[in-house]
Parts: sequence; structure tokens; C-alpha cells
Amino acid sequence: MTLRRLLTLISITAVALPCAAAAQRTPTLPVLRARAATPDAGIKVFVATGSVRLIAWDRDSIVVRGRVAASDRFFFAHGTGKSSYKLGVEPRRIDGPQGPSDLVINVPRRARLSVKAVDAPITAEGVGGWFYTVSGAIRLSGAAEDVEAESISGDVDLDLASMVLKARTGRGHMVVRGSPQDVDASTIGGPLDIATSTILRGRFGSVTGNIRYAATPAAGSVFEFSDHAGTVDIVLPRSASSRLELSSVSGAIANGFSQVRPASTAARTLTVRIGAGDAHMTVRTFKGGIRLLPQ
Amino acid sequence: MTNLPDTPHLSEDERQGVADGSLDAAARARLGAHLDDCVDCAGDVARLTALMKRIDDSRAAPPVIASELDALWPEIRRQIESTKVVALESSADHVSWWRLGIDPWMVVGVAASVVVVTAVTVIQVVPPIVRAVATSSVGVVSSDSVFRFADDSIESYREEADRLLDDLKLQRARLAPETRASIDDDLKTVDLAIAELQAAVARDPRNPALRAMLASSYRQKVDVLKKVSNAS
Amino acid sequence: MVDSAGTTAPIRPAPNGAAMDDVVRRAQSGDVDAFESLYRAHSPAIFLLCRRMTRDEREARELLQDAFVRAWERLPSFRGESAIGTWLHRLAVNVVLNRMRADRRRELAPLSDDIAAPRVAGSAIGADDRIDLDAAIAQLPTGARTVFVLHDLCGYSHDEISAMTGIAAGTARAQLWRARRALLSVLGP
Repeated sequence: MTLRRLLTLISITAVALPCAAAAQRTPTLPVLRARAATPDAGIKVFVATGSVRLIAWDRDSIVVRGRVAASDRFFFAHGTGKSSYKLGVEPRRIDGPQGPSDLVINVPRRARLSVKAVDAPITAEGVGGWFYTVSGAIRLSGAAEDVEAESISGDVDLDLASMVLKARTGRGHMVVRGSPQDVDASTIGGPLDIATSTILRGRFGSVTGNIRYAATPAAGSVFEFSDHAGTVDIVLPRSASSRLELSSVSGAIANGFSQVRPASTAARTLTVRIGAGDAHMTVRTFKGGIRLLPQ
Repeated sequence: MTNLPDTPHLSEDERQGVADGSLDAAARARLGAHLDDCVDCAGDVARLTALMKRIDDSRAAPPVIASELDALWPEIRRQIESTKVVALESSADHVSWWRLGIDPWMVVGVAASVVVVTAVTVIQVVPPIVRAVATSSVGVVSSDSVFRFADDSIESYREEADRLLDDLKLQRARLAPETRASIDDDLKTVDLAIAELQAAVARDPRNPALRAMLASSYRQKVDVLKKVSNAS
Repeated sequence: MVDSAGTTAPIRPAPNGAAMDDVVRRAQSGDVDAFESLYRAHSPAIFLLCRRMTRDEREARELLQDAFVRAWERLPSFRGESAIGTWLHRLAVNVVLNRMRADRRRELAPLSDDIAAPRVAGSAIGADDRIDLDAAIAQLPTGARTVFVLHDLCGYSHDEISAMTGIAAGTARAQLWRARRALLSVLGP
């Protein structure tokens, strides 16, 4: 092939490919709506596919910006007064296909959200409420009083300053960071990582996923870890102050803090006190291993 | 007292503030002068003040039946006790010294010597920040109340799981295939864990920790099924 | 409330001063019997709080139990900066508010709802045409009842209530005024 023909072919391809891609991309329409709202308005959001991002602000209004798939319809309805709203994207035809829609929603800081998505990832900053996806990822951050995050198979990443936090996922990867106080988090088979030292009451569980706690437990805190077949790793600094009660039916218990091993292989239990023993941690597994490791 | 129609009446904040005593002395004096001259405001504030007195009186001596609250304590105690860690070995594994034909005083003497030697070794060898106690039995709680609490939890979770499973059968058709597959996979995982725990409980029925783990597995099953109803 | 004999039972006197400190210390070290003493001393006040905030006897009993189970777990973190009764009271308020938040999330009913005039059931009117204060409080809408109980019955300031409930202090104040007006209209002069 001559150089001239090669350059012509490249030029044609360079024009054709974006056109083909544009033809493949779902057409979308812009959306921009605003409504006044009470500071603690209840807001329900539904976006099946695409993405939804919620950002807290200090205004008594809700503003929605983004793009909605042309096959779908944007709705923004309100209840009595300015205290309850429903908004989101629904197909124009019942059981019709839905294209991806991307919404960015500003909400009052103390609004109580109920957000539901299918495979759209949900990102929220500074707001609390209930967040649910089928397979989309959930990423929550900022200060929020009370948060509940659930996904059937999506990843859940929580970097919150919250009083109460409840989180569930199946196969997804769950990470708990930030500064929550009261946490109840579990997976079915996905890994669960906890990396925060502010928890005062923590309950963590999995069936086959591995659990890893790597932080400094707060004085007076109470933790319960339960895993059927996954491994539970408790990684503590040598300066930690904690009393740990580790027990397993048939899993191995490894203690990286001292020379002491479980008293017998039949009775797989071990109690360890590190420092003054200010925090209380209970770890139980059925056949998963337990490892107590220094940082 | 006379009404002075040209004088504005007290605001709601002011009336409430006078009635509940939350205003400072200067404000009270200023508003008091108006109340001396305004029948309407004075009457309203008097009614609010009477309400505040009634509220204060109710705060002082709440009548509550002590015996009714006493009856709630056993359940609280059960919940507290059930969170204690228990040994996972069966109580049948504990062996009494005298059954082995061993003189208990000799055991005490030997044990004391071992403790002294071990203490010297530990102090010299193990970093001083860590002292670990190995034990074959940790706070064994074997009261019937703990079993009843765990069994009640297992039973109530099982009933809820059965009810949600019936709902799932109705909703399956509305779920996307990938969602159905995820749910089925999770349920299979949890059911396997439940089956293993049930077998363990059958072998060691007096082990409350196993029952607690079984209750926890049922709770996880209920959580999976609740997520389904949100998916459809 | 009166018992079947028609008499009210007094609140049992709580241990005070050094005796109470000793009970708290023993409870913190895991002595359940010592914790039971704390329960017996403080449960009447906590139960009254739960009942007034929820208007449901059954739920109030459950919340009382939840509060004391939570108190047992958190007791190691009690450092004595306040009286144990104050600490228990604040913890119970948080337990009740958390339950109310969870319930509201399902209903999407905001805490700062508009006040409606309390509904008066004919059977609630006593012999002298006056309604018992507790019955009147129970008829207040959730938001107003919460603010009223926390401020007028429990003594929390508007700023403290704002921090606990998430309602702006000004809104809490307005809720309180309306609650008092509603009680006046029900209870009569």
C-alpha cells in the first residue's frame, strides 16, 4: 500500500469511527429543575441506569441537573407542602428499555433521602438516608446522621462521619472508613474491610467473605465479628488497648501478639488482653480462620 | 386594667417567654408593664403560665408501676448475658480432677510452681505491653434463658425467612436474570452455612454459641430476602 | 398510672453519692447485679421518657429495654463527667430518636411536620371534662411531641434539641409554641 493510500485510509477511519460511536451512544436530553424544599425534606430518587450523584448544600431547595436518556422521562413530583419529593427517571413505555441517565442533585443538608438504582452507581456527599442498588456501586462520604446502604452485588464504600451506619452487600466489596460511631455491616461473600478508629459499637459479619479490621479500637468500644467460613483478620497497633475473645469451631486461630496459643485443638478459644483492655472485641467463626496481627 | 387599643400586643415569643420564665429580667420588666395594662395579653399569659405549672408538676413525680418495670428486667438480662463469649466446646468435655484419680493439692502445688516459672520467663521474654491469658473456657454461660433467647431469635428469623421466600416466588419473574442469579447464589451460600450450623447444633445441642451463630445466619438470610423485595 | 389496688407505687430511692459511684464502678467491671441496681433506680424516669415520646406502651417498653442494653455496652465509656442518671437519659433519648428516624425513613414523614389540632377521643375525657396531660401529649403530632417532651419535660435547651434531632433551633422553638397551644386547646383553661 502506498503512503498516500495509507494516509487516506487513516483519515477516513478517523472520521468514521466517532460517527459510528455517536450513532451507538444513546441520545440524551438535558434536564435542569429546581424546587424549594424544607431543610429536612424527605426525597425519594430513582435512576435505574447511568449514574446519580447527590451533594448536600445549605439552601432550602433541590436542584437537579444532568442528562436523561431520550427513551425515558424525568419526573419531579412533590407531596404536601415542600417537605416530600419524588424524582428520577422512568421509561416512557411500561417495561420499555431504559437508557443511561446521569443526574447530579443538590439537596438540603438535613434532607432524608431514599435513593434507589439498578446498575447506576450512587455517590452521595454529606447526606444521610437509605441508599439501595442492585449491582451499582455505592459511595457515601461526608457527615450524615443516620445512613443505611444496601446492594445485592455492588461494592459499598463508606467514608462517613455518622452516628449510625447500617450496610449490606452480597458479593460486593465493602469498605468502612471515616468516623462512624455505631456500625452494623455485613456481606455474604464479598470482602469487608474496616479502617476507622471511631467506632464505639460495631457488628460485622460475613458468610464466606473475609473480614479485615485494621485500626485502633476506641476506649469503651464493643465489637462483634462473626464469619462462617471466611477469615477474620484483626490488625492492631502494639499501643492498642483491647480485650479480645476469639473462638472458632474448626478454624485455626493465629495470635501474632504473644507466644500464647489456644489451650487445645479441641477447644479453639483464646482470650487476649492488650494493654489495659479498654475495648472489647469478640470474634467467632465456624470454620474460617482468625488472625490477630500487629500493625 | 384597661385595654389600650393603640398598644401592640405581645408577640408569641414574648408570651411564651413570660410564661416559661425564659426571659431575662429587663425583658420581664418591660413586658410586665404591658401586661398590667392589657387584659387580652395578661389572660393569655396566665393560661400559658397555668399550663407550665401543670407541666412542672407532672415532671416532679411521675407515677410508674415499679413491678411492671421489674418484669422487663429478665429480658434485658438475657440480652446482656447472650453477648458474653462462650466456649465452643461441649460442656461434656470438661473433666473433673478427682475422676482422673489425681490429688488436687498436688495439682495446685505443681500449678503454682509453673505459674512462678512462667511469670519469670514471661517478664523477661515477652514485651511488657502484652500479657495474654490462654484459656479453654471463657465465661461459660449455660443458663436456659440464653438458649431460650437464641431459640426465639432462630424461630422468629426462620418464620420471617419463610414468609419472604414466599414473596420471592411471586417476584422472581419480575427480576432481571442477572439479579435472580445473584440472589440465588447468595441464598445458596447462606443455606449451606445454615445446614452446617444445624448439623453442629444437632451434635452439640447444649452449646449456646452455635445457636447464636445459627441465629446470625438466619438473620443474614432475611437480609438477602429483604433486598429482593426492594429490587422488584 | 395506678396498679390494680388503686395505688401508685413510689419511685424507689436511688443510691446516691459514693454508693452510686460504687454501683457504677461495679457495673462497668461486668457486675450484672450492680447494673440491675442502676436499672431499678433509673428505669422509671427512662420509661416515662420513652412513653411520652412514642405514645405507644409496647414500643416504650421495647425502647426501654434497648436503651438499657445499649447502656450496658457503652457503660465502660462513662467517665463520670455527669451524673449517671443524666448519662442514661441522654443515651435513651438517642435510642428513641434513632428508632423514630428509622421509622420515618420508611414513611418519609418529616419530623418538622405541621401541627394539626389534636384529635380528642370522647372516651379520653375524664369526669371533670379535662383530659389527662399524658393523653393530651400523646395526641400531639410526632415532631411537636418530640420537641415538647425534650424541652418542657426533660429540660434540654433548643440548641441541644436542634443538635439531637436535626431540626433548626428556630423551627424547634416554633414547634414548642404550637405544642403548648395545642395542649391548651385540649386541656382547657
